[in-house]
Amino acid sequence: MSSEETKLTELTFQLIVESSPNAIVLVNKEGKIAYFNSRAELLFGYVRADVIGQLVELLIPKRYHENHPGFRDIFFKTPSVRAMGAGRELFAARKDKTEFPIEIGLNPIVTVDGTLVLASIIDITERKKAEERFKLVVESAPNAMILVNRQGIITLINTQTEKLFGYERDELVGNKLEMLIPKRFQGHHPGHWNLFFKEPQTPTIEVGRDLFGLRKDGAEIPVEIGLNPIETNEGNMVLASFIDITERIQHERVIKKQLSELKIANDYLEQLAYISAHDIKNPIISIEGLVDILLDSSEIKPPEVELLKMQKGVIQQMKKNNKGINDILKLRQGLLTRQDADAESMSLTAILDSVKIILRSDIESTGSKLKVNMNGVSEIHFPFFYLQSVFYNLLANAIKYRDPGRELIIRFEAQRIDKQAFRFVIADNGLGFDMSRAKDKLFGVFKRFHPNIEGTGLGLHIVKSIVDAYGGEIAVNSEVGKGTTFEITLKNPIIE
Amino acid sequence: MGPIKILLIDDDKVINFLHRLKLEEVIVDCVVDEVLGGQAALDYLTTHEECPDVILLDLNMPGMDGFEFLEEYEKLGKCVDKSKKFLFIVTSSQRDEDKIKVTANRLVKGYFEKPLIVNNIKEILACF
Repeated sequence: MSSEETKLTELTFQLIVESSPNAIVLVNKEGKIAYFNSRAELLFGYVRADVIGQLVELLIPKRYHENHPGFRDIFFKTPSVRAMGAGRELFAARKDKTEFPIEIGLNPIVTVDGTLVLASIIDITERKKAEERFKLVVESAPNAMILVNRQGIITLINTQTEKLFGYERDELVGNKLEMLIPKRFQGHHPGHWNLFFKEPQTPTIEVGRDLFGLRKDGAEIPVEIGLNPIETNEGNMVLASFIDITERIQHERVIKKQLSELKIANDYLEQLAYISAHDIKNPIISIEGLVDILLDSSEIKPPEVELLKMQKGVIQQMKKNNKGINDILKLRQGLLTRQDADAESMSLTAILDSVKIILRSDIESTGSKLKVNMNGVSEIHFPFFYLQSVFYNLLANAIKYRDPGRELIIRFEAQRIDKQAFRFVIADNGLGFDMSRAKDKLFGVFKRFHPNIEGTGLGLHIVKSIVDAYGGEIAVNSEVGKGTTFEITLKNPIIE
Repeated sequence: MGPIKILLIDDDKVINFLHRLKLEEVIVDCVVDEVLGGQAALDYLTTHEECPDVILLDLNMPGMDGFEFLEEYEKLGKCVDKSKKFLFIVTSSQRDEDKIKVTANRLVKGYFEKPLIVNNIKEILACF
């Protein structure tokens, strides 16, 4: 110590000590208190005069009195700046004998009167409470929770951890986390662990890897691990939560199996549908060909000709039904294997115009009116063919099921809901139908509600299939004698 | 050039009958033979010295089907490489996959859906 430093006046020293936010106690070689700042007075409940010259053990609970002088002597033999207690929990006693947890920093100071120890004392009651609360939270968690420090040492576990891994608390705390991880993973595990400390992201769930925990009995359990970095006064730690996913994996296995069975059954049914459609088509073609030959023959007399014509009519209906099945199969196939790349941006007016061209003769012959309100919607991004099909089927239905007693007016409205979603309303003043009777069956395949009007029972089924395939929604409202309103919500298949 | 020799391969007798009528109606000078399956067709080709000018092949048949026949036909070599020999598929299959698969075969000149219509026959004639 230089003479300059010893010149530090007592006044300066007092100023520094008094302005410290911590309680500060100076103790001499004999263990007697040489100084006691006002913070210390506040903390311990003594006034300075009570303690100066007293043994420092005055500030320590009775149960430590026996050992403390020894520790004190050791410190004076090898004085250094350090924390007291070497990791043990420390307690102080107030004048009224109540105890409180503390943390103490020790600082040797050489003065003209010999070496003194400056003990800086912090009341950690609040911190301890917070720690207790943390422990309680961890304890009450439904998962196994393990607090691990930077060195990979387990510092805290909860009861769920004991249950999951079959260890007692004492067998885990203080040991490496590696003991809970199967040996075959241990090679790369510490690396991964260090990486996590280097860049601790907020809650990480380990996904996409098959992770296992190792039980005390040697059994491995599939787990999902969540890692959560937390800062503590003991440094950065990781709170790891382990969820036993044995049951989940079993469920997934069952679902997977059922899914593949369903797929096989579905493929089989689809094959069957194709084959029966094909097998029916062949004889229909044959019968039609034979009937045509008879109809062309000059030897057939008028009554038979009538019968043959009726038969021809039946055959054509069969052909139409058969084609309907095939159209549905193809549409389903197309929708299932749809590629969003097929979607194109196009003008809504152009789509509607293309539908009007297909339906022109029907619109003109029935004198129907189409009132269009685009509400500023110009472009839509969707596969042309499917949107055309939706509009075509709904408009064709409106015309087909018009009320012959009044002029048909179809209202077509487009509306943009947000960047990606559109709403279309197609409303008519046609025959309408009984909602209570038709509601559930309306979109079913080959369902028809107007027996006296020719139809295939496919139109609405096709519309619904397309809307469903693109995650849209379709709603219908109808009243007999008033008309029918369809409302469709569609989303762009590509998110721009 | 003599009459156009046509071989119909279809397991359905009535279809063969109807196709024959249609062919004879449109192509005045033709000779039509019928067989009821892929194996029968192979037998026909190996036992007849003269190759048919046109083969109309169905796809879905019991026993050796149209696809298998195409393979065997190619292996047979006979009739395949001669000029002015054409093979058309006439099928009631409505599966796009079938069409794509079979028209990729170099031996297949065309693909028609049943029943054969006049325009199909005109297309066949246009090859000559």
